[in-house]
Amino acid sequence: MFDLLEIALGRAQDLKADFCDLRLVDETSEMLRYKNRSLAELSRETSIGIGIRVLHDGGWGFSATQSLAPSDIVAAVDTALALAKASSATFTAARQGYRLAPEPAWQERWLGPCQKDPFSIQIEDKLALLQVCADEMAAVPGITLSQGFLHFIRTDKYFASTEGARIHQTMYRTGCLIEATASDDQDIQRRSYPCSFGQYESAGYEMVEHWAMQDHARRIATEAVELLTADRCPEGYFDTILGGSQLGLQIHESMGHPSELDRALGEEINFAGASFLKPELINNLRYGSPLVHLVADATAPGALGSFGYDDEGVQAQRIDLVKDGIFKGYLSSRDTASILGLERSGGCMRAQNWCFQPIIRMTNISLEPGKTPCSLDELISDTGSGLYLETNRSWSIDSMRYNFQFSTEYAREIKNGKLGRLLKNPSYSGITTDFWQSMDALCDRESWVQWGTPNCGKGQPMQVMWTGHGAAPARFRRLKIGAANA
Amino acid sequence: MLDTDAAIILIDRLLKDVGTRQDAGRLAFAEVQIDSSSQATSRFANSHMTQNQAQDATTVSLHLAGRESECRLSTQDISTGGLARLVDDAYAALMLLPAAKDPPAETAEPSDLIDSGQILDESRYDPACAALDASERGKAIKRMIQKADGNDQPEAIHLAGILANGQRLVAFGNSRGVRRVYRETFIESSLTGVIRNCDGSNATGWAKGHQTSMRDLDLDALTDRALAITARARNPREIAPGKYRVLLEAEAVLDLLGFIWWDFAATSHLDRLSPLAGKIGEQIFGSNVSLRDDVFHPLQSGPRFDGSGYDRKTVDLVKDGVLTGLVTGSRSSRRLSALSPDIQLTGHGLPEPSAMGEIPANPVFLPSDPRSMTIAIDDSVPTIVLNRVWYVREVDPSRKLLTGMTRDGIFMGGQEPLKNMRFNISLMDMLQSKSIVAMGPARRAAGEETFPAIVPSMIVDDFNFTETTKF
Repeated sequence: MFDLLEIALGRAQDLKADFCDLRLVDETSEMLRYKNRSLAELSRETSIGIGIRVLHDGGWGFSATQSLAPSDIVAAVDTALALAKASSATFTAARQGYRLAPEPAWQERWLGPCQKDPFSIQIEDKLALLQVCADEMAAVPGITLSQGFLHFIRTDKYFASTEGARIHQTMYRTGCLIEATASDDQDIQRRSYPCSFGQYESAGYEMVEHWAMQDHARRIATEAVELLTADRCPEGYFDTILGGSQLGLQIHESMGHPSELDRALGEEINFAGASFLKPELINNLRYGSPLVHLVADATAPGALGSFGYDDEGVQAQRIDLVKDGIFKGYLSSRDTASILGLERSGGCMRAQNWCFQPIIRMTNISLEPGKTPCSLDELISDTGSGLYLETNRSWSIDSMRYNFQFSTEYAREIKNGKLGRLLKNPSYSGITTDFWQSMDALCDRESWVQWGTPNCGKGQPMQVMWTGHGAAPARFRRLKIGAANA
Repeated sequence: MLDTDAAIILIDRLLKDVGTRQDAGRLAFAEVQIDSSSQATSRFANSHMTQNQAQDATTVSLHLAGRESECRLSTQDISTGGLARLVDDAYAALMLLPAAKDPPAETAEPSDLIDSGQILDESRYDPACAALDASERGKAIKRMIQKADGNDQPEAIHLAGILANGQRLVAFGNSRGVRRVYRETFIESSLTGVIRNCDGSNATGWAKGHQTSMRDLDLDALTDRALAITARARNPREIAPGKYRVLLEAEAVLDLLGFIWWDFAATSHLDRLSPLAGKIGEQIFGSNVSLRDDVFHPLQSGPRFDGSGYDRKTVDLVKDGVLTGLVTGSRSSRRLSALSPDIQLTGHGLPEPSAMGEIPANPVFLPSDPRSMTIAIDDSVPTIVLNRVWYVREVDPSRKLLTGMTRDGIFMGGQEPLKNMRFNISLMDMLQSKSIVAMGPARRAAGEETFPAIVPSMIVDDFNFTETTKF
């Protein structure tokens, strides 16, 4: 495949482009979706193409083609250069101090983790698993809809640049979900496992076996039915423990996005918004309590947002975003890193596939677990009185990433240090920094899970990205509960 | 990108290959769908082009339906070898599948179609739109920036946004002889103005347009609108949350109503995921609310056939507040007709197999007694004007309770800028007669939470702001 990329690089050099990099992405995916005890969808997709970035005279251009014919590759390079020239012609002053932060021209082969190739697992076995789960859920009286899916993606990515980088990466992503819905004339309640919208990891079929959905199907169906008649979650201010997957989404929305440097610099203002994290606040903002240590770690084994090298050829890294509660840094790219005066890009440029231009995206944005031994049972016991919320149902945050409101599928009252009655329709809200400053306890590494979110949207045109979020359950003092019911 | 002839040739070739395979006798039918597009986006902020990109992509998907099972495989490798592999893999997958409890739904026959002789629909294709190149987009963006630079505000307004254009082709063919091709163009621009407040923070304004023809998108007017809102947004004050009368601009209405479109799909009722299930014939909204799905409306876009090749019909969904109809696809109409013989196939199916079933892709909100919103504002009642809404999510499906934020322009009385607020509102409540004060003329609106549709601006009472934010 690199010989195809050499054609493009040669053309870019012939045309005297200042810089060019390319990604050839070859991807295969399979989705099996069950609905009400029957296979609702079996689909497979294959995709291959080349995305080409050119930098010329301070202007960027990007084009993409699915044709691997040399003449079409050359034409795509020409298009990218024409776009770059149009960029620099539109704005005659190049960005001041503009440059690409340096990065070695890696020549590497990287393989993501995969113990069991999901594409070699017999389809009968996959269907049998989904059938067992569907039968278990349907056996619970009151269930009106049961669903589940298995999703597998294999990606081969070839990267090359005029700086001499040549990188070949292979990665697998696997996702699974079961979901039980109960409805009556008044209400619709849902329970999901392992988490809402599916748990995804950079892994093979072994992750499906790990999550053992068949062992949880009847439980979530029972809980969905019980929620129909459960008491409504009370409103007010409560000491609240958030479950790990819910906390993962909280991290995504309230730390992952505001720490994207393109947002902070105003480049996403037209769609995704801006960020309250201004560059002058680095080392100057108390973002959270001293327990809050948030990292961006693209090296985390098996996590959904992990890779060897980003889509600019920058090596995967682990970066502190918040340490001891203090804001420390951003997710960056080679050009935004240079604006901020950083020595090196944080390696966060990623594209959905060959057809899209890389933009700054989260990798694995994780809350480091507590250092003091603490299980979820111990945390509940220590809480005395409050609430426990689990599994996301809705999420919303403002365009600067201050005010948020989330709701979860499931809540339990905590009374006398024990989980009590089931509560439905829990929601909570707050301001990002107030929220994180209220975190006063969290579970240890035994309870820590690397959750995976497959559908982060950003960019124009919109792209979807898979991100990871490691989290253990944590407690937040006097969280505002029930804003949705106001 | 493929042209019409190439698309038809490819469909013919693929179906012929399918028909000559050893297991062809096991098939009930085969369908091919082609999605081919070419688009370009110029994106700018901070006085430079942050991205200038062009993409060209064609996806071919093959749906094989046996008598008891089905599968769909897609590829972007449209070489001879690639398409042959597609057929190989599709048959291999189909042979592995057990009999489904819900067998494959039917595909269109030529005799089913009103215009069975017409293959190509290019009624929404504008050659000028397709031809807009990077240089021309750059010039247009320069004009926008110059307008911003030339504004007479005490503080400078910086403009960010996109100008995008392109074309797409959707082609369908099946083993029953149906061939349908649709081609359209689009042009889209959204603009955000940024202005500095006295306290050093920023205020913003926004405007967006999306049309199928360049004639219908006035970039100067769009720029003027974004700049005017931005200028007015400067130095906002905070007000207490609570229930207010609100004028929702059409873009805000769109991004709220987007969360109810699928409730008019038969599958959402069959799956008991909609609070409208079982309510056909009942008064669900105010008598001043009527909704239709109408692909033929002159301001609409999208093909006039569905994922199974059937004609899209115009469907009255809500008439004077009464739920009168649902959109169906091949599968859902079969399931529903077992319950009620009146159920029609409306031609809104997504490509099968699909867990979602179908969707009303061309909604038109028909306001009764549309009025000028300026005249409709009652000065004696404090009215907040919302330019748009943002990050809207469904909190409780049984009430269609939504939460979201205001953004890029919120004004008391249409003039005094306010700080942004979070809302929690029930669509079921908002669309009642007692809540709707007035509606403007319906127009094509483009937001960020759903596809463009034809909706009015609306003045509603008791819009529930629950919290404030810091900007």
